[in-house]
Amino acid sequence: MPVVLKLHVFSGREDPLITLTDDEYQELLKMNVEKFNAAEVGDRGLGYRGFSVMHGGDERIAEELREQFGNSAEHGETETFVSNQPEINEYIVWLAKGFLDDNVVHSIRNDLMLGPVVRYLAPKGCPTCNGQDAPSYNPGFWNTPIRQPFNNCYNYANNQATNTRAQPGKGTGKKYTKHSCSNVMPASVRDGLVSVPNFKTKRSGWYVALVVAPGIDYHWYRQDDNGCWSHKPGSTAARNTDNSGNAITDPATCDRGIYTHFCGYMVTNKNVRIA
Amino acid sequence: MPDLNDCGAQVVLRPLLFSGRNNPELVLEAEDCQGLLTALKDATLLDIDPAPLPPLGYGGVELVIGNETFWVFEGAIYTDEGNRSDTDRAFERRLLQFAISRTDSEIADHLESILQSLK
Repeated sequence: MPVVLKLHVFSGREDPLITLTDDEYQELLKMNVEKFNAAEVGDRGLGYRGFSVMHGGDERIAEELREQFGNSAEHGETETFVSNQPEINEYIVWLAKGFLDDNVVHSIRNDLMLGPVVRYLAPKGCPTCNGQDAPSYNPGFWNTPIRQPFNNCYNYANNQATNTRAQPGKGTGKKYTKHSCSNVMPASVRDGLVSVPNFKTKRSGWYVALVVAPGIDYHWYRQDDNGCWSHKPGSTAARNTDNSGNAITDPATCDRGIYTHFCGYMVTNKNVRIA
Repeated sequence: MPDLNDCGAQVVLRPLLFSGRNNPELVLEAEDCQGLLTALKDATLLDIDPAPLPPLGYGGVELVIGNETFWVFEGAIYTDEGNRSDTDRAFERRLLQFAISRTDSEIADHLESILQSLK
């Protein structure tokens, strides 16, 4: 039974189907599944929205797809997946080239260059998001060569890609001086953040949380509009899981490695000045 | 793949330590570079899974040679050109030791504790 890749592109027309060779299928199975994200269609609605894999009821293939994509390969077809990774997207375009009209391939490539247009499915058990302007979890925006290395946890929490690896207090002229809660938190207050006791009150802006590895470093989390928390450790990729690979329902209790001191919750907004 | 016999390109060592503050960056002199490149060249090519996501906290060491970045972490050396084995994390330890000898005492202490905790 052939394995077929369905590219979710069209609204009215049938979506294009690409029958994979054995080698192409094996290539798909070898890809790092963490680089895929189960997704639902975002606001743009039109254009390339991801791919699914159809296995035609072949149990062996269904099992392999279940292993690769999680428990999502029921009823002959997986969920729709997207990727933030240029190499995976290039692979999709490369596959499409051999099967589809040039104008369709061109359209897919253009959509991929615009970045993911999806809302990521919220992990189960996320708390209510009370930040009325909370950003969506959209790692594709951050995990690109033009942003990922140059933006850190403070950039990500404030949802501002300044490409300066922003430091608390620097945006308002006086950077923090010690890696402690009592020093970093006031610096961020100078930038415009507000300290709050919890994240249970409806308010404008969105919730972030500050943690510290005493004497070593600080780190920030943010609450996304799906209610769960995400973060970007330094120059590495933005993600929505903790050091144990679990969804983050509360940064006060998640696995934070050496960042053992939980300083508190704060609220930020788009007018906060970071640099 | 850069020429691993050539220390003509700029070689930069970047331990991935921090989230908020900037990580230290050490530019290697030619004399330091050659030994590291020899060890890298001798590392066995490895057919392993793609690179994992570095955790919050210590996430290995990046070695940047010209335009190529080698990420050394938990027994493997990851590059776009193929991955290599780092048996017993020997290369990673060597990079950390080098970094310890070239950074200020505060960061060196942190690196030393990481080195001691490597399994």
